[in-house]
Amino acid sequence: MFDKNTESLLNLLLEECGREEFRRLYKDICIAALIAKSRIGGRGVKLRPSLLRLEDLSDVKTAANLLQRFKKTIGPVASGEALKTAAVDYIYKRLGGLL
Amino acid sequence: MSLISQVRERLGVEWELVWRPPPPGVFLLKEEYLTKAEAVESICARGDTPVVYIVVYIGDVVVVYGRVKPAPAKCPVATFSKKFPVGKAREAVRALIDYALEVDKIPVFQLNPDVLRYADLCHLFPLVCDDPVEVISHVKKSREVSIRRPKGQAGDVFTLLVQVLKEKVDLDPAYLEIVKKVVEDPERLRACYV
Repeated sequence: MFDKNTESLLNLLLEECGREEFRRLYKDICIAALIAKSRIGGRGVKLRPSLLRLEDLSDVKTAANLLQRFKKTIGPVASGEALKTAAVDYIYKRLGGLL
Repeated sequence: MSLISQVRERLGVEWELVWRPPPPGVFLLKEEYLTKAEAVESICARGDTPVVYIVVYIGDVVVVYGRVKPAPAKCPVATFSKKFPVGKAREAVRALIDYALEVDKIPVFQLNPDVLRYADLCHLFPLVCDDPVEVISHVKKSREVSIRRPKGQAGDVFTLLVQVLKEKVDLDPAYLEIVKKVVEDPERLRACYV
């Protein structure tokens, strides 16, 4: 659903997120990339951490914080597409702040 | 207020309005994020909401901002346009970008990097223009630089703290309230960590 460049950035991020150090430093970016690349679809998706089936409690907490942020722009129930767009938007803003 | 009045109010009176599709040109948004014309035709059939395009002419170059591929045959189509001298490409494209980001809340990753390069605006949106491999490399390097700094010097910690807080506030202006609370009562921080 995303353009080639964005897909490529998401794939690279997920690859980096496989490394412990990167994941520890940028957990929010990793979770956002996970949301963007997930198979979440449909029109009425309720924004809750269980969507991602995360096991680590710290990951669940990060996902909950991210989804709380997304709710402000796309609402508590949104389409899968809107959720993924919000996730990529977050990644761009976050990376932009790091550069 | 109708959609057309809202657009006109935002753009200003010097933008010309014509009720026809935009001329051929380069779109401000990447093609992947333009809605197919057929997809909006069923919506148009339910009312008379027009599909709006905003166009800038920069010499022979035409840059078009719109969210729908041209042009839905069954919809009323309004095109706002303005001519700019060749030397004002940056200003012209900036006008379209400001509208897209501020009014339609388009995420920056949907901007067409070719248009940004043409208007020399890549410095404002480096992530859109840069190769993803370079972006990741820069992120990793920026972290390495901060880690390599000698430890034990309060100045470095403060610099890092300011950087981290700045990132947080850039992402969420509401975070500023948290920072204010820390400033008001810094001793509470000690209770959190000691």
